[in-house]
Amino acid sequence: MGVMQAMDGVSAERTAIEGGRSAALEQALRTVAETDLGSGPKYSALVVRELTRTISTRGYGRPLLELMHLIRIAEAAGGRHGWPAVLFAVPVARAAGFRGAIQRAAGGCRAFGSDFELVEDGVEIAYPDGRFRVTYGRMAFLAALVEFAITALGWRAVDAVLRAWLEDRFALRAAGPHANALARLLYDHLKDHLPTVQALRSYRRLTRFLSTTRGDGFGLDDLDDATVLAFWLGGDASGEEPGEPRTFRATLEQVARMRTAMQAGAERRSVDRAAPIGGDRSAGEVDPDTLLGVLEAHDRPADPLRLLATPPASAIKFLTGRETESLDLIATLGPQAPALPLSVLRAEIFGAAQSRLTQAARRRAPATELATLTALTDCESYDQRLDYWNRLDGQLRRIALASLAALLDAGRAEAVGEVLAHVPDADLSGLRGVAASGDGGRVVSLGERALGGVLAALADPTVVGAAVAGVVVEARAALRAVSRRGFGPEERRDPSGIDGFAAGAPAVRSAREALARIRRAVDAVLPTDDRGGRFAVDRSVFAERFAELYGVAP
Amino acid sequence: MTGRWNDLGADGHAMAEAAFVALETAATLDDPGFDRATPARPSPSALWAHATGAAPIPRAELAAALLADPGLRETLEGLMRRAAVATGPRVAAASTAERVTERGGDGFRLRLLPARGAVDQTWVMIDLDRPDPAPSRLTVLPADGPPESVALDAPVDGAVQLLAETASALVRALADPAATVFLH
Amino acid sequence: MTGRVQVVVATTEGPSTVLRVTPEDPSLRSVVCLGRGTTVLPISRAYDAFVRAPTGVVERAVGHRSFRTDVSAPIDDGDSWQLGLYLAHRLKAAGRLAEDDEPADLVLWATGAVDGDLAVRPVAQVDEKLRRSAGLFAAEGTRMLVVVSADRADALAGLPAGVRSRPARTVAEILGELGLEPPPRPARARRLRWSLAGLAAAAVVAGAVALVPRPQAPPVDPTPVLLAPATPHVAVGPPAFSPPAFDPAAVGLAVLEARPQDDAACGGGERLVAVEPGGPTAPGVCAVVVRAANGGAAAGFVWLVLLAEGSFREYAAGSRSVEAASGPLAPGDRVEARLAAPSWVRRPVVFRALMVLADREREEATRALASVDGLSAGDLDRLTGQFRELGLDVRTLRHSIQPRP
Repeated sequence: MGVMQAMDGVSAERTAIEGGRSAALEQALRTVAETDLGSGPKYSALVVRELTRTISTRGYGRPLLELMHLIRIAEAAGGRHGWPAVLFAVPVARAAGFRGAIQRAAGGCRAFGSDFELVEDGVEIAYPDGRFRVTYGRMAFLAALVEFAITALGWRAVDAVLRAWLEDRFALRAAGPHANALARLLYDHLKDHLPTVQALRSYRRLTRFLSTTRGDGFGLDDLDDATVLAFWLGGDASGEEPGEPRTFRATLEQVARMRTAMQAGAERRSVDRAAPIGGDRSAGEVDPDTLLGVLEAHDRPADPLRLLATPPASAIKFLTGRETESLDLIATLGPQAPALPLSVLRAEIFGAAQSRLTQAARRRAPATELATLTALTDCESYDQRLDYWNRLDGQLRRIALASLAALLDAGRAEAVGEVLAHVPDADLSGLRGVAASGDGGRVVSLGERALGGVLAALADPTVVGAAVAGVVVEARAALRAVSRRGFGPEERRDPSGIDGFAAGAPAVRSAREALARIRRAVDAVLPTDDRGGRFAVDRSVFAERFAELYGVAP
Repeated sequence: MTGRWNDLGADGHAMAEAAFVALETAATLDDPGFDRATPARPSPSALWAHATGAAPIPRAELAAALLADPGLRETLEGLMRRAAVATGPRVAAASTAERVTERGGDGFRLRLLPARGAVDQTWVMIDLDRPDPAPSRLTVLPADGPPESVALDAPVDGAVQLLAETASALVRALADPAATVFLH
Repeated sequence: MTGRVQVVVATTEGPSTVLRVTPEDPSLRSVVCLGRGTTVLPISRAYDAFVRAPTGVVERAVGHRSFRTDVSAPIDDGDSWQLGLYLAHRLKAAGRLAEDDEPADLVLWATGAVDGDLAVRPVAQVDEKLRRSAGLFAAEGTRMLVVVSADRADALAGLPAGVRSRPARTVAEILGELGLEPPPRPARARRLRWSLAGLAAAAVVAGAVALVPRPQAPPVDPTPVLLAPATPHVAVGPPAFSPPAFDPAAVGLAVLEARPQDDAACGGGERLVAVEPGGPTAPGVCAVVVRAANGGAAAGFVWLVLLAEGSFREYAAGSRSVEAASGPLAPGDRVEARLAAPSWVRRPVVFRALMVLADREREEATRALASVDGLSAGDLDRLTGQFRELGLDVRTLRHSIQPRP
């Protein structure tokens, strides 16, 4: 552990499979992610993330099979030019775009109505040996997958497989071998390009550290705040960018990932204990679908922020830039954030300081400036951050309520779900009478006729109780008070804009829930009268380490 | 479940390692580093939009991308072939220095005729076997460099003619045996 | 006479000199090019039909079927170039055409159509064409000969002294004037209906409907004639140039720019500002509006077309780059067409406005413009010429704007 000097200049193109990263693979993903045909990004953040997960886990088996069937559909709908005329021509990859393109084409294609059937949410292929449905909602991801495959593997290779499939017999079972052929090509390519070397190195480094510091019997509870700090302080100082010190935030995220990984490993152990003897899975083989599930669960808290950045929610400014940034780390840590509350605080505060130091080092700031930055004199305190979180919580609640009011005003059924989310133990049975569904059933009918009456009744305390009615009043007040883009009465006239509220309101609530969990966790480990002292100690630890890392004389 | 490290067994360890590596990989791919100086390459759908004329990519940008990534040319050619009404493949030539004056594809013949009325101009004559569908654009993809494209008038008696500078990139590409010709 | 002759084709935009006539490979179709460059003018299709036998008359006369003719300025008009180019071909064949910068002993200015019997047919707007060539006529030291159809002789009254003129009924009369051999007599005197209907087949591909030929004039030659097989055509009403009560000159064509209120973005409130067409304007235009207003005392009919020249990516994706409006135009009435500018573009964009006027609705014009979405600038050029041949009043304006600062 020596003094780490900031390096002069960083090479622009890092080929470096030896460095554990493949520029080619990153370029391929970036190519797909940044596709813009003149109407904004073709693929949403959610779709791009799903693609990344699929590649990282090599969980493309089933998606490639689905892709084969989508290719059949798109080839029929694409007319003379075939499947690219559908999958590549849709400017924004959303369900509505694919639906429109395919429905338009279906009118002029005889196969639609016999071999292909348009159903409510997608297209169903009537093979002689079975049916297969591809939903419009799934098509965006599958289109991104085929674009990635072509970018990474080349057109000829992918086209050869797809051509062979299209020339093969029209049967459900015939798709499998072709999906496998494409999967093999991807596997071979990713074998050389996935940055697994670096990831494995990180894995070994971390597990070695844990064994050394906590013994071989270390468990999940050993992956705690103390470990994060100790690993950052004492582990290998090199970071992801060659020549740059590892950031505290990166260490925290890595430990969080290790927690998820250990939990997955423990689950597998217990599942296999229950498995019959001589089970058909060979030791060590990991099922990609299971891996995909692990990653999806880890991603879940971050998905609301991605959703807010995706149409239709992105048309409305639910969160400011600062608010999104403040929630980013908490969301990225996944379900592990509440287990590492002190580290989250440290990363928010000292991580920000390290960012400034990194920028200063990159532009080779003078030593005096670096010294000032490493001293951390102007740092935000834990109390101040917790105060901010408190205000942020209030703001998120107001935005969620304002969204509820917007849905009520627009007469949207989603308003009922939002009310229930805010008042979970509400008794809405009184609405039954208002809905007048006529069958006396237990379920409140939300048919169009009934909906208007139901929504109006939500504000009536005699029907729904004081709590619910009170929330509705509060929601309307919140809506009047919000001046962010998309919330104004003129802007809300557009019915397609209201879709944004329907999509975004639950996401805002999820983000608020993630924030609430971390706040509770912080309260548990850091009682109020401890905070000042803890902050002072942590600050001096970080200041000292920064001085070492950034070459500032103590 | 105890979840102790030395209790996980081979399967548990395999899973923990695979899960960690996948999570790390996904994180790395999501955040590839601060250097975004290299411009993004056109994706297959961007190339399709270019090939069909729906959203042409500026010439300089396409040329740079093709230079930086040879695989892109293969994709562009494949997509142009898909989008085309007819394709004229590379011509077998006795030598690479040879200039082509006549070439063809499925359903058409293309000829290059010196313009008698101007020494530095060349006629491009396309004879179509089938009047329908009438192509509205001619694109040439040379072995090096970006594609050259020109709009075509409606055919008269199954023929389309256009006049171009002999030194133009279009004519030079048409005369190049290693180029591929597309009618869109 | 002997000596070299320079041929000038008259147009309403000014004179266009024949620079060069070159026999081309017979497999090529004849073309008219602008200024020895590679720009092929839209009249080329008609020119090819004019050259190539059996419909054309040039091949019969000079024995070659494919030519490239270079002219100094665009020729948009329907058929009035025929006389000038026929004479240019005859002079070329005789080795007497002054090409490129060769000195000429005579400048021949011509406007008129030529039919299959080599009769000279009258064309419209001779006055305007003469006016536009005033500079040419005033040039010192040049011998000039102005040739028009005999039916337009009255237009020659305004010519400056010293400019010789020759109204003619037949091409032979002019050839005689030039000292060239009379045209070869065709084996049978056949009346060929020289019409635009022959172009219909190709025009249908472009979605435009061919317009009707001019009304037939009585035969000049007293020998019996055989009619050509009937070609389908649309009935025409009384010629538009018999004096109507409607006065096209009283219809004003104005260009207005729609700009946002108070520096806001386009899409909110806007104000319309009348501008000088072709004049300089500040960037930040949301849309262009053309307005036809009838300041006269009688009603007429107007067709308005507004086109953004060039192609823009989002126009290709479906928003409109052409707008058209048409309708009756009572005294005091106005008709407008409005086209949004491509708002993301930071360079000048040229908008072309076309206004066609008549005393009443002409079905051919309405049909021709019905498929306006598919019209290209070249199609508009051709239709402009054809509308003029029908005797309709046609005005074209261009205005350049910059949508985004």
